[in-house]
Amino acid sequence: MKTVALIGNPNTGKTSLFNRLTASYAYVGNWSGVTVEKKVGVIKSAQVNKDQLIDFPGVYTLNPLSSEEKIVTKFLLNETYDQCLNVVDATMLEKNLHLTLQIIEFNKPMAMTLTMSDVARKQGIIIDTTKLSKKLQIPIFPVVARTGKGCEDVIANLLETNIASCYEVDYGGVVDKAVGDLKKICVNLDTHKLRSLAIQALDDNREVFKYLGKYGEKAELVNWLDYYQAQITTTYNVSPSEYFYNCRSYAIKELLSECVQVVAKKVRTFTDRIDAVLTHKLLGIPLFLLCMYLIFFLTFDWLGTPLSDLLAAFLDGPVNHVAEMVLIKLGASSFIMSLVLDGIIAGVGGILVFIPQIFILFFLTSLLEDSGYMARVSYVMDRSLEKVGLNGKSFISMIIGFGCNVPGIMVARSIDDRKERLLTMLLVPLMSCAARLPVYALFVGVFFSNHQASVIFSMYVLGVMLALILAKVFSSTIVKKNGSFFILELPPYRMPQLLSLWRSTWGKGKGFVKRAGTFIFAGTVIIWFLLNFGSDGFGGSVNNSYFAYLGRFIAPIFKPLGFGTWEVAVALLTGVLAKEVVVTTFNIIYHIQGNEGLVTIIQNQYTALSAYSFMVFSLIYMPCVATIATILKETFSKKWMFFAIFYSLTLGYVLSLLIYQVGRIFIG
Amino acid sequence: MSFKLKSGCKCVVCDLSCVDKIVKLSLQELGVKLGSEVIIKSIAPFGGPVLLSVNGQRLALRRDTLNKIEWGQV
Repeated sequence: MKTVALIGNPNTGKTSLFNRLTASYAYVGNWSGVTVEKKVGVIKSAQVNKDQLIDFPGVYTLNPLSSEEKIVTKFLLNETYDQCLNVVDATMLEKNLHLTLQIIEFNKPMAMTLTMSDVARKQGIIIDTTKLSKKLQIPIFPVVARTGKGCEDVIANLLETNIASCYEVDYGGVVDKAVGDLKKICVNLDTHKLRSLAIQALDDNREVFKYLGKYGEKAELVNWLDYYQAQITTTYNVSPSEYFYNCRSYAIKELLSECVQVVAKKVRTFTDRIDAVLTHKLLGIPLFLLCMYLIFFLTFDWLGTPLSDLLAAFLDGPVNHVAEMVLIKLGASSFIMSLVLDGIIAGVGGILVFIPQIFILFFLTSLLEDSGYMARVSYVMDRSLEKVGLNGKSFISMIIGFGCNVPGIMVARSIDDRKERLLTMLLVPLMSCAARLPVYALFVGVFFSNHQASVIFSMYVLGVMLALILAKVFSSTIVKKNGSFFILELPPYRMPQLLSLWRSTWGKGKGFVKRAGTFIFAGTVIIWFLLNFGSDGFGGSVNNSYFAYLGRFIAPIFKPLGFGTWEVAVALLTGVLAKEVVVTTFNIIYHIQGNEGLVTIIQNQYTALSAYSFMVFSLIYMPCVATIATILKETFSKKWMFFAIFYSLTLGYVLSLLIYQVGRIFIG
Repeated sequence: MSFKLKSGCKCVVCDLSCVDKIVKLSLQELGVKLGSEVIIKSIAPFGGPVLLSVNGQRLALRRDTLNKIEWGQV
């Protein structure tokens, strides 16, 4: 079984290529920093060798600035692999080749795929791949990852490469001497590898320097590094990193002059024309808000809810009847029948009906990301975010958080400034995630049926506004920071590849469905159990169940918020497991009570005002356990985890209280 | 010598010495270094970031970073 490492700049179509070359899924976003987890796929090939392709975060150089980009260097140094596959954007050769040259220096078998070769041709860039391949001494495959053109060639020839390239960049006499000296300090290190390690170490690559420590005396290495870095600075009048960059630039310019011709250069591209509108001074933000509103209308009023209703009818009708008949046929006890019909089908089914809305929402946000619009949004919103102590990149975390808080928090890793990163992570839970949708959908269906999209939209807006306000508050007090920077690459607009879109949507939606099948299923059984057992023994009135007692104990706290019943208290408690479970619990409680119409019950027990107050509370009160666990993992700090829980509870309570009490004054 | 940057103007990077080391490296990674030619594409309102084009690639940069770079006219 062979292993191939897929390495390249961000935005080169690397993940699209990964999808084409393997039979496994990946999360694709047309924006730097989104693909942060290491992905391993099985290469599509005729043989059954299970050869692996590992996808890495996009990096510009092997000596990167952010922590997760170090994964690439660490892998190349410490792990065993058979080959590198370097993904290069044919339209950005000059920039991309910097990384290529560094990988070649590592002296392992390597091949290159030139993606966007069709776009390059359209831009008048003509690349003599045979000549370039000969010069760099590596095989080069032009591909169009979007359509799959050329990918078959890659798969067929990928593992045939066995020899490493001997291409070398000339770094001058000082560096040659440094390599020679390093050989004396690190005696057991392979000569070819040594050269590349010396270069990387002199170029300030901390990871490589640490690695060298395994082969030589620490003190000697430090002296060597200090001496030669100083030599470079005095001899060439620039810092070491600038010097190495310049050497490579020179080598690249030579290669390009011999292998690449630019025939015509378009001054104003398609992307520029769209950007003129979407990033317009005045239109930028309103257009974005319009875009978001459209997304919500599609997800709910126009498409999502009608589909959801159909699914609900199916589950309540045919599925329920068939299940009942089967159970009767099997002679099941009333215990089992109640468990399956009132518990599992009602509970899990209550969540599954939201699959249409969830998938539509995920699809539309994937569309935004893959097309490249997400980066523009970041640009347009950066000023507003800067004013509250956040970063344009925080916005991406928040948009993703609208789907699910967990990946939203993980994506915040791409924010360089530590304090900004922490702040963003703490605020993502305020983003109304897909799991909260069932709760809203339930209540708006009853009380605001003519304004469903608007009311739900108000929840999202509320979350965002609270996040901005709290950002300002926190950044002036608890998470105080000193200046940061914001540099963002805006990729060209691209027509998203349908296959990638589908995989992206399915990847995110799968999580939702999986949760229903496991977490929520288990929770459903437990909840059903706690509701069916009580002082009356099994099957007694729900009002006397253990859960009810617990609920009644907690309920008084919620009275001033407008929803002080035990059913609500219990539902909110279960909501900590996963937000959707609030609805699951309601479904089970009322199903058991024998009433079919959850809607009628809600109409009787709540008013529009208390419903809204409840929705706000469930938006804010506490992140679900998965989110809490992620916050702990990403911040490495129990302190911040507890803080997140604490401020959420407080804020949720205060806000709900305000809404209900003030609302009562006006509505009566 | 820095001058008022306007949308559509072409300028050259003359001096990066006032820029933070990390920012300088990030810029270098993206192809912005001494002597790079840059076209200002648009300027976001209310003091927001600036969209510029370098070597056919679009970058967004905050104004305070932009102001720390010394620009020259092409």
